[in-house]
Formats: sequence, structure tokens, C-alpha cells
Amino acid sequence: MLSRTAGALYWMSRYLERSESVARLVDVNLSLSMDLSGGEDEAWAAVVATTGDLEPFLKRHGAVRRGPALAFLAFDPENPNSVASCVHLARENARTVREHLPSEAWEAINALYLNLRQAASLGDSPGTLEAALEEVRLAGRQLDGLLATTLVRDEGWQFSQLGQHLERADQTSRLVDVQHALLEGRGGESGHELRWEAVAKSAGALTMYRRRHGGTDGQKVAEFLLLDGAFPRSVSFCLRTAEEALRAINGTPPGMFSNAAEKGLGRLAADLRYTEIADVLEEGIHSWLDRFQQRLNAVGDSVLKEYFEPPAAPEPDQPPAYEHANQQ
Amino acid sequence: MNAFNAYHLDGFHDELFLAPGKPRPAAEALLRAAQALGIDELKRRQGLVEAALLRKGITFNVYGHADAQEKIFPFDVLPRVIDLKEWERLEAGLKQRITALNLFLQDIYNERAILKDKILPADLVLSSKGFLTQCQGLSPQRKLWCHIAGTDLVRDKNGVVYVLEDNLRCPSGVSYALENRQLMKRMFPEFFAAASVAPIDDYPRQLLAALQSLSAARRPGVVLLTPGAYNSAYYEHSFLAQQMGIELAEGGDLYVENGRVKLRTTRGPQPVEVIYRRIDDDFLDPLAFRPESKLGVPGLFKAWASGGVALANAPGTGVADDKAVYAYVPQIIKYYLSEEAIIPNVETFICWEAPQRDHVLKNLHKMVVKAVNESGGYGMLVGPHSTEEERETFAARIQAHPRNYIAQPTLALSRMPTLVDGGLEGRHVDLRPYILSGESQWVTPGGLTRVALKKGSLVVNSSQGGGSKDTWVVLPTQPQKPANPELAQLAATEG
Repeated sequence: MLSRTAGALYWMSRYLERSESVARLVDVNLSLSMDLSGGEDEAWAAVVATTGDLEPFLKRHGAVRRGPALAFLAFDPENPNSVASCVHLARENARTVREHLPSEAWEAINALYLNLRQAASLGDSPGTLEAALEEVRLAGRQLDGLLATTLVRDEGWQFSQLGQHLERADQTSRLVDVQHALLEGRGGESGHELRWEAVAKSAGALTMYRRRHGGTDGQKVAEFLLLDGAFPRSVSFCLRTAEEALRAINGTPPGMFSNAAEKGLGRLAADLRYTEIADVLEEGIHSWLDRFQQRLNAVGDSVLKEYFEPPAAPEPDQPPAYEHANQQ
Repeated sequence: MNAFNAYHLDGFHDELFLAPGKPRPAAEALLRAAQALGIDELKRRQGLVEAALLRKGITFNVYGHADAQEKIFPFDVLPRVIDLKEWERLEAGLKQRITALNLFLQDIYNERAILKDKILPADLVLSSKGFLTQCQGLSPQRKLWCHIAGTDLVRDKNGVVYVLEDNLRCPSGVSYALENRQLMKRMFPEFFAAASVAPIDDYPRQLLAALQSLSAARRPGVVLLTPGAYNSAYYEHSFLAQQMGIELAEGGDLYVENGRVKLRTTRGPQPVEVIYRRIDDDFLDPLAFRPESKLGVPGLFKAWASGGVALANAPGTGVADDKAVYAYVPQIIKYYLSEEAIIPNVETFICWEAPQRDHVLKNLHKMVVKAVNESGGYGMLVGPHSTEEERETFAARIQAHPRNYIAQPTLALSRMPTLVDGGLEGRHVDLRPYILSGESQWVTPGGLTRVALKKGSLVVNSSQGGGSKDTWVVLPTQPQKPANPELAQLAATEG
């Protein structure tokens, strides 16, 4: 497989996952904010912070308010982490590797892109945004199914798995970090449980969480989302899946590594496997997550360096001058 | 009165009707099925087809429209119909033509016998922009230069089919023909129940076979070389790569080492024996041609010249589809094959020759003037539809660069009923069949019918407001011997 192709599949899956994460965040917060009296804008600020874009947002809009925050998160083409931007980038990557995907997969991504564009043009009409966000979530599941049942398990599949699970681990850890900061010291206040439930719901974990732990408890939610060994969307589980995919690319046996990316990811995944929530609390959730984020970013960087930057390739193509192929 | 009966021929040759209300025999079943659906239903389904084209991303980019990227290629749902007898003659004519042009290319880059025998003027051939001096003395695999050709055919008022131009460099559009057929089968099952249509889905397999036949390797590595996702035909490149199951490579994915081409992959370099390149000659190799090209592969030309890799099409085919050389193709066919051309040329005036130039300049308002190396409907003047000012501009250009222009009488191209706001109206069409040459020759049954959607327009190119139609070669319906008599019995009693 071409390095360029591997890269495009990796990024396609990362951006799809990111679009879904942001869509979930927005969707859950839409519903939650209706149950909260006051503090609504604060909740939106937390969502914008989760995507890591609080600074550029404040620069453009001053303070966080519901309307601008929604527009910024959902459709804003200038926000690279808006749902629409992520879908656009996923589609651009898919477009360059269309011959590696089942045609239904390309069509699903393309249809999602076109529908979001149309939804964005409809503006503020009631129900449009909710329907669009739901479509993003469903498209994520549809693509999971399409790729899982049709792609041969070659490097393309592994790179796609790697991208998806690194991104999911990243998004879930951010979610816990930001919401934890917001909720810290609010125990006992009305709406506290509701908010933690919303956090679990944003990560698609609420039903499974309830079945395992019953009542809502901030620490338990954090534990479930970060460390649970059996819940497939937990950070620990995602890292394990990502690690397996990464090792499969080079055929490295479990417990070994053949390059810096494998070493970094293997070590991080193992650390999480042997971490208990008490260890996290002892250090402090925020400080622990901060350190985790840095290590995860380093893993992402080493994957790029190891696999996608060809040693002596010519400089990347700019959109070329148009006369190069005088189409007949 | 319904739209089919109200349809007028306006004195043009019509591809579906002999006379108003009187279908051509091959189109009869189709028209009956279409009429049964009615115009409103045809339009509804046309809407569905367009939505599907957009969803599938079957789009092209129009140069010079910054925000108009990715338009769908407009599609009209009434298919063009060709009867089998006529098609067989056209198919033979196309094979004959491409065979002769391949012999011509091999000859002019080697012995130049045809020039020595003064069948056509040497300076005309050697001054062609498509003539590559770098190719002199070379002999590609199988002595074939053009493996994929897309020849444009038109029919005039009298029903005679002519070759309008030969596209021997990187002809595009075949993916639209294949996708059109897929969509038609899905949206108009009634049409296919009514008539027996020659399938065209074999194209990717035939193309791959032709490409593989250019290498002696048992399982040659074949890739499609694209300029990248910004190219107007990128959709087609990725479609064909997907259909053939080969890698879609950009210049940066390939490199040359010891005269061999390698593909950079995550598992290290892989050998490449055949490249279906969709990049113009000029941009293929910065060492051999334009040094500033970032799209090509340094050293590729030399690797090809020394036999290390096959290129389809070979560099240098442009000389044979130069529109001034085109004028001599009937003589070229006669010279190499001792046969008369089966499909005639359109009468062509070469502006380079003084007497012909004078005739052209005197009759600009009646003629179509074309730049010899342009394609895609760019750089042309349609005399009867031109303004005084446009004619003056073209006259000046012709006088300044006579070698760059040819002219042809304006043909009254045949028409086809086409869905428009008011119902059905006639629109002019052409036809581009695709001819593959490898171990053997193969022609798409039918090809891509392009239609000028603007009322009265004669320019069918997609970049100039053209659309397309499905194209049917209709087979005579004859009772077939059942493959399995027991099943046939069941099928017969079922109904």
C-alpha cells in the first residue's frame, strides 16, 4: 500500500471519529442545557473547551453564548474542529483513496457531506441541527459496519482502526477532563448527577455505565470512561485496540516493539491497563489527564513520522497549474 | 397531444425518429416504454438520477470556476440507440482507423516511409506540437503507441457518420458511459425489459487485459498515474483504478531506479511494469520535458525508452491526433492497409496550405475553425453562431499562426429527443466509442453519447454546457436456446 494511501485512510477515520465526538457533545449539551436553570453558557464554554478551541472562539466572539457556540461547533467552516469541517476533511481524504474503499463507504461519506452542507444552508430552522447531528452519529455506525464487513484486513484496515481509536481515546479523555473541571466542587448541587450522566451519554456510555455501576457518581463515571477494560469506548480499551492495529501493520508480536510509535503506544496502553481510579485521584484527575494527553500526542506524532512522512519524497503537491492535463 | 407526438425533427436527422411519430425500428420498443411512463415520470426519475450522480460524486471540475468545483455531468435519460448492423460497420471502421494510426506512429518515429513516399508533407508532420523528437528511433512494446483511443463520431443531415476527431493522448469520459448504464438499469428497468442491449461493463476488464499485455511479466504491476485530486477527470481516474483493482498513483508515489519504476509502499518499493498514465506528455517527466512539472516522475521517459516500463498511451501519440494530420487519415489508412477508410473524414481545410487558407478566410461565417492541438471544445469558432468581432479575431490568429488551425464546414449534427422544461426537444449529439489495443483490439459497444443541451448549440463538450446519454447497441431479439431446460420450463409456467 502507498504511504500516501495509508495516511489518507488514517486521517479519514480520525476525522470521522472527531466529527462524531463533536456531534455527540453538541447533541447531549443541547438537551442537557434545557434541564439546567442558569449556567447554560458555562456548559457551552465547557463544550468548546473540550474540542480545544476556546481560545480562537473567545478571540472571535468575546464571551461564550449558546447561539454562536452552536454555530461554531456545528457548521463553521473556519473552525477546523466543527462537525462540518471534520466531515469535509474526512471526505477529502476518502476522495483520494476511493479506489480502496467499497463504493458504499465513499457514497455514505459523500452523502453525509452533502447533507450537512444543505443543513448548514438552512440556518436556524427548528430540528435541522438535531437531525444533522443524528445523521453524523448514524453515519459513523454505518461506516463502521461497512468497513468492518468489507475491508480485507490489510494495512489499510489497520491504519483506519489506528486512526479511529487514537482519536476516540483523545476525545474521551478531553471530555472527562473538561467536564471534571467544570463539575469539581459542585457535588450535591442540583443537576450534578444530570451533568455526569450527560458526560457518559456524550461518550455513548450511559446505558452500559448504568448496567455496570447503577447510580450516578462522578468518580465512577470517570473510571468507566477512562479505565474500564470491557467497555469498547473507554480510553483504555481504545488504546488496546489501537496498539493491536499498529503492531499488526509491521507484524510485531505482543509485548514487543519495532519502532518509536509502537514503543510509545505499547507503553501507554500498558500503563492504563494497570492504572486504578485511586491512582488517578491521588495525582488529581486534571493533572493525570494532562500528562496522559501529552503522551498520547507524542504517540500521534511518532505515528506520522514513522509511517507517513516518506524519507525523500518530493515536496507535497500544491493544487497544480491547470493546464497540465489537456483533457481530451 | 402528448410530448412524443408533438416532437419535431425540424429537418435534422434524428437518432430515434424516422419522421414525426415514426420511430426508427431499433428505437421502437424503447420509445413505446418511454411513452408508457409519460413525461412527468421521466422527469421524476431524471431527478433521481441526478441526485444519485451527486451522491456518488460522479462529478468533474470546470477550469476557471473557483467555486463551481465538482459539478455533475448533466445526464439525459432517453438513451441513444444504434442498430447492430450499423454498429458492426462502425466497429470495423474504428479498428481499421486505430490500426492504421498505430502503424503510422511506428513509421514516423522510425523509417518515415510514408513521408519519403510523400503521402503527406513531411514538414506538416514534423512541425506538429505532438511530434516528440525524443521518441525517434523508439519501438514500444508490441510496436503499439496508442492503446486507449476515444474517437469522436458525428452524423450529418444525410445520415452519414463521419470521424470528427481522433483522441489518441488521454481520452476521457468512459467512466461516465459505464456509470450512466448502471444508473439507467436501476432507474429504468422497463426500458431494458423492452429491448435487448449489448452490455458495456466489460470495459475495465478489457482495459486491464490490454495494459497487462504490454509486459512480458507473468503478473505485471500495473498502476494508473493521475495528476491528483484537483484534476478535472480525477473521478474517472479513481473509478477506473477501483474497477481494475490497481493502485492509483501520483507522481510522488513512483520513482525510477536502475531503469526500473518502483512504487513507494508501506512495505517498501514494489516493481511497476505498466503505467496507464493520465498525465500529458509534457508533464510526464521533468528530466525529459517540462522541468518545472511536479506531477511526473523524474527519469520515467528514459525508463520507458529503454523498455523498463510500458506507458499507455506511449509518449508522442499527439502527432497522430493533430487536427491537420487528421485531414490525411484516409490516405494513411490506404497507405498502410491498402483499404479504403470505412468511416469517412469530415472535409477539412488546412490553414497552413495557402489556397485552403484563403478559402477558409473567405468563408469563416460558414465554417467551424479549430486549433490543431486543443480539445475539450476550447479554442474553436463556430462560424454561423459567431459575431463579426469573433471572426476578425480568428482571422487574425489564423494569419499569424496558420499551422495551428484547420477548418471544417459546419455540419448539421444529428439530434435526439431530450427532456427540457416544456417536454421533449431535439438536441445535437455526437458519439465517442473507446478503442482498446493490446494483444487484440476491443471497442466499447456504443460509447459515450454527448449532447449539446443548449438549444441549437453544436458544442457537446462537458466544459461547454454539454451533457451525456446512455448509448445502446440494440441486439435483435431472437429466441435463445435455454441453458437449463428444466429452469426454462419453470420460468415459462411461472408467468
